Parts: sequence; C-alpha cells; structure tokens
Amino acid sequence: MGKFTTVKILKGEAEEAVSLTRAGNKTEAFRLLLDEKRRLEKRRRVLAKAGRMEIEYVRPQDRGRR
Amino acid sequence: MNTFDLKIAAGAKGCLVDTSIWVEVLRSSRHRLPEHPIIPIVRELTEANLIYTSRLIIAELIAGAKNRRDAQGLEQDFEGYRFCSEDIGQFRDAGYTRQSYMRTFRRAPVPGLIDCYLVNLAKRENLIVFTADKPLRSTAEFLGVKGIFFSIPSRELSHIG
Repeated sequence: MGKFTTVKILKGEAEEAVSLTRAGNKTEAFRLLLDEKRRLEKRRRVLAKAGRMEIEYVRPQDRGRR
Repeated sequence: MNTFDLKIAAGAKGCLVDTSIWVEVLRSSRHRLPEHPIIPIVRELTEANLIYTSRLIIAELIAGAKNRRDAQGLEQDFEGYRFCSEDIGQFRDAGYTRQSYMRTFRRAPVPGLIDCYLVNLAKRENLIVFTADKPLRSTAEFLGVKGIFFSIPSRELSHIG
C-alpha cells in the first residue's frame, strides 16, 4: 500500500503553481514543483562535494597530454 | 552569470559540462589555490539549471571515484542535472567525426571516440561545451561547437569557437 500525504495549499499559491508549471491541474503542478525542488537539492549536493573528493580523470587517450 | 558566460552562452540551450571539469571541481583541494576559477561558473550554471550531462560522463565519474560509496553518491546526485537524450547509435556519428578529423589533420593527435561523441551530442542538443580536455576542445573547434576551455596548467579560461 502506498503512502499518502495531504497538504493544504492556499488557493492563490495553487493557481500560481499551475501557471508556473503549465500543468493540467493543481496536483500535477505541485508534483512538478516538488520534483524540481528535489533535483535542485541533488545539484546542490554535487556542489557541496567541490574540492572534497578523491577522483581520477579516466579518459584514456588523454593520458599525459592535458 | 558573469560577462564571460553570457557572451558564450548566447543562443545555446545550455552547457554540457565535461568530465574533465567535474573532476577538477570535485577533487581534493589539498594542492589547489583556495579560489578555483571554474567553481563560480559551475555554481552559476547549476543555479540557473543550465547544465546538461550525459550517461557517458556519469560512467567516467563512477570509474574515477575512489570507492563504490562515492561512486553511488555521485550517481544519485547527478540525477539532479538535465540529461541529454542518447542512444548507442550516436557512436556511429562519433566514428565518422573521428575519421574525418584524422583525414583533415593528418599529423595532429587524433581525439578519442568519447570526445567525438560528446561534441556531437552538444551540437545536436544545441549546447555549448565546458571542458579542460584538449582533444575535446580540438573536436569542438573542428565541428564548430562553441564553449569554454579551462587550461589546468595556466588556470586560465578561454572561449572555444
């Protein structure tokens, strides 16, 4: 069985979400906005790793030529 | 976004950030100057959601990671970026590009298939490229794809195309 969460949204905000996302309805609009929020959080996690990883450049033909 | 980016980004849908740049951004800063010149650019492109990536770039990052945990973390976090639509058949175009490059510049070092693949992908998707890889830069110049090149030895940024 899936999990459901009910969130109350102000009418003005719901209309703005539909307008921003050009979604067909309010539920779809909020789903799109939440997806984008999650993607932004992931992108920020990549940046948070800047200068903190041990990682090698593996493209083979480039060895010694960079 | 600063003037440098705006000039080069005109008309393009976004930017294909190459593995060479990601490795430069991510790798340990023990031996680096505190302010790396490419990090502000990557940060601004990220915030503006203009960065595109490829399954091949993710594969190279996975291959270069120190351990499986780091590789999986990168794989998950990179899902936040936009992905180009790709299929294995696009390597055929990369093969033709490499063959054509080799015939045009007979004595020059020939770029690899991955370089050719990524530049073809950027061209098809109307993206600029951001790279620190010389063969990829040469391929971009050959195919008329614009971009930004970061020289690791001199730490300088320049335009491609």
